[in-house]
Amino acid sequence: MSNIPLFADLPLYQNANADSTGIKSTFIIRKYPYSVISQDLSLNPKNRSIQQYLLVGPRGCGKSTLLGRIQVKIDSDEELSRQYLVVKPAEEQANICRLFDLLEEILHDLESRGMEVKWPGEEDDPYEYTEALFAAVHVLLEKYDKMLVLLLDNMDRVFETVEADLSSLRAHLLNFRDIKIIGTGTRLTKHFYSYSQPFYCFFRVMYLEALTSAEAKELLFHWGEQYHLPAVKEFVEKKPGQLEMIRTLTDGLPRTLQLFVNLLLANDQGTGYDYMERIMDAITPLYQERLNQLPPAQRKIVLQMAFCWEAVGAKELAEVTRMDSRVVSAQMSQLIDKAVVEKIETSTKNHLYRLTDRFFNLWLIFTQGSPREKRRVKDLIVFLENFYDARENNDPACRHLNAGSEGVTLLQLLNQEQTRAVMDRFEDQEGGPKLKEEFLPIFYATELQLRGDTRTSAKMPPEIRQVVEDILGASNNK
Amino acid sequence: MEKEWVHVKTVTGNVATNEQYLKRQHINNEFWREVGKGNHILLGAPRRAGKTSLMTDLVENCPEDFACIYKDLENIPNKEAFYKQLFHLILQCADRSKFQDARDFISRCLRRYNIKEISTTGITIDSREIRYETELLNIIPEFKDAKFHTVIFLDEFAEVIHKLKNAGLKQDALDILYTLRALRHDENFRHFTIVYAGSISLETVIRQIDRTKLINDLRPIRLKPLTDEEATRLIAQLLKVATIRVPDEVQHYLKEKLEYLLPYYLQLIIEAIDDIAFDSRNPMITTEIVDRAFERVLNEHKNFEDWVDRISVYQEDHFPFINEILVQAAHEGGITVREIYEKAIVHGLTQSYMDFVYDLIQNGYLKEAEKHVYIFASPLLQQFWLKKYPIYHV
Repeated sequence: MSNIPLFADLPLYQNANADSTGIKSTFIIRKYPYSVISQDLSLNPKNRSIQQYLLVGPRGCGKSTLLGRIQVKIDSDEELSRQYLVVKPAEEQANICRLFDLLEEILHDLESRGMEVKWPGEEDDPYEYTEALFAAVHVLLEKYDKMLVLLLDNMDRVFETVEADLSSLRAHLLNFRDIKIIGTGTRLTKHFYSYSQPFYCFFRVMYLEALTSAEAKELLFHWGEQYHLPAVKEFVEKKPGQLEMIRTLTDGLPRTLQLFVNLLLANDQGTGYDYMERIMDAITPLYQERLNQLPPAQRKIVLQMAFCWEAVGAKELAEVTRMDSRVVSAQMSQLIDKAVVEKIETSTKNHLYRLTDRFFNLWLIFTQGSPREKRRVKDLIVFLENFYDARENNDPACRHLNAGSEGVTLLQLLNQEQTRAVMDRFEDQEGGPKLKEEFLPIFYATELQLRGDTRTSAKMPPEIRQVVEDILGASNNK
Repeated sequence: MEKEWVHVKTVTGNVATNEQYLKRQHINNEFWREVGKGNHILLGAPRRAGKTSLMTDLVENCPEDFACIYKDLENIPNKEAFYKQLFHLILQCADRSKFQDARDFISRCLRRYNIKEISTTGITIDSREIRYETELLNIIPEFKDAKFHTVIFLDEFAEVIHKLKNAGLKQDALDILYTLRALRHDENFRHFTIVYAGSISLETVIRQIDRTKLINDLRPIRLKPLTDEEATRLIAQLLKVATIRVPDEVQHYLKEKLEYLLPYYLQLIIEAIDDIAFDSRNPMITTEIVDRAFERVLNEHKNFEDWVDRISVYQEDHFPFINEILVQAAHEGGITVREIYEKAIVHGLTQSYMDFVYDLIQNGYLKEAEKHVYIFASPLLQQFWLKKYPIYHV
């Protein structure tokens, strides 16, 4: 991955494939879903209510690691392994096109462990064949007196592929109550929430959200101690602002923190901006592939949307892309279906749109943006770093926020409830636009305080919401 | 050593049983009373209202002289599969029954149909073609003089009919409906009851195929939201061994805030409360934590998307009008009939606007707060609408 040497004990991908000791010792975060699920497995005898789970979060948030931890929990617990059979198909399930493919894979897996499978005979009709395979699964489970725990990575994608068979799957889950699914997905697709879908609100959905500041610190401290890396501990203690900035702008993903640790270990010293640039560099192969997969028209829309940064309307997007608005609308629908773009609905027809993956948005600005666009990001990085350093130092006025800069004045005015005066500066025709670029979070905090939830605040990039709330919190406390 | 945190015993989206199920005895009583009168039951309620859990409880705790079986039918592709399934269910039900009549019946069937095995997964028959529709009519009368009553619970029955119609198999759907109606009206079948359950309205589906008379003899039983007392009991059940402590006044606050007490949403809130308390490892729940839990559930707003879906799918042509009513009611805290009428003028719906208002009330969106003033039935739903449609123009 790029030119960053990786610390061998901190593998970036497929962490779930580490050995059981490794998984146990590195499992630090995501305690709540793990605790709920493992307790459910321990306390619920199989003839009771069966809760199915869906773990939702972006790539790199720890979903597969959590599945791996659950598998280790069952396998290493005598009582649980007596009650459950765990099957965890490969993470990339390229060979699954219909539900019977998945059922065949489950049966092959069980057979490979020495269990007797009553394979059904040849059957041309997919419905009959699926039913026969299900029967084989139920018979086997009854014979061995076990319940199946299916750990299904990328369940959102599997459900898209086997959509035609989902009614069958639901019917068997309800009729036999001998299969428990714990699946993962990068997003909540229509299969899980649309009223017309078989699995409408069927799974207990648990979101693996961005790590909080405390969780990020805990994780870094843990790595520092476990792998004897004093540089990591030192960084957390001495540069809280930089850490908070990195956490905020990289969506608080554990995987990005791993990248960051590797940067530290490579003895790369630098400013927050330098770190971010190198993290972006390291993540490039993944995002470049994602960008290349889009058709040219969609790529253009995605790029322009990234450069706008804030959520934009379709009309505005048609202007910046110089494309026909009908073409933009058609492409947008496809991008929404692919979950590349999300729609923010308004009560009018003029909805707003933005890129779903905010880290991807930032990467696009970093790697494809003009110097002006990159400068906006740099301004934000500097602001975040200084703001959080100041907060860590109990300096609510943020006196060393670019000492002598306009930012200090603006924050002080906000603290003195001079909100209108702050907005006047942002609305000043001459210096206003540049000021807004330089202090975007202060602009949104002012807007929110002055006007409440408006269309402008609906445009706010989600990655700065926390800092905006922190600014407002500091101002209100004052 | 830190004491293990015991989580709340919720179950969302799946069948709730035992301590996770809230028994509403008056519904069970009504059910068995109607079956006893010889009625066949139409069990209707929106999804997530607890139909399957109720049916599971009725099956598992049926009176002495009843034999019951439950089956979700939503994957039935055609009428042959439906009759086969019903045939299998009757045999499976008899096979697990303790009555001698049933044992005798099974013995006869084993010989007659060359049945190799009857198990929970189905029935294995030795290479013989069976005309299931005909055989159904043959076997059920054998129960005529039995000392027990058979009840077959068919879940998602309305979906089966709806899917057959949409798949171009309207005649299959009609055949099934005619056959079942004939069964219900035959004296030979009086010891045999079918419960038709579904989350989409069977009446609506039947209306679409223009045969309302085919089900007008069914006795409807509808699942309503929990009463305050039932909600209190459910909360107590869920928290029985949990670490969190929810004082009475906080429970009261929670119920008032939720107002429309569906078990599903009540449990979502309690799960969120557990999550928040777990983070701080503080088991004592306050109203502030309840507020945060509501906020969290709302932010995961896909939980409520179906409320929009249902209108946009089933009232596609009039969605803009209906949604304008709801958006205004959300932002203004209510809407008057005069304001609705003004919107109806714009949409050309002055002849039927109150039908939509009644529908919104019937389906749990709105309620009449005072004469001709309508507000959201649930503050939670109102908050969802505000989040979904934050921009509002008068």
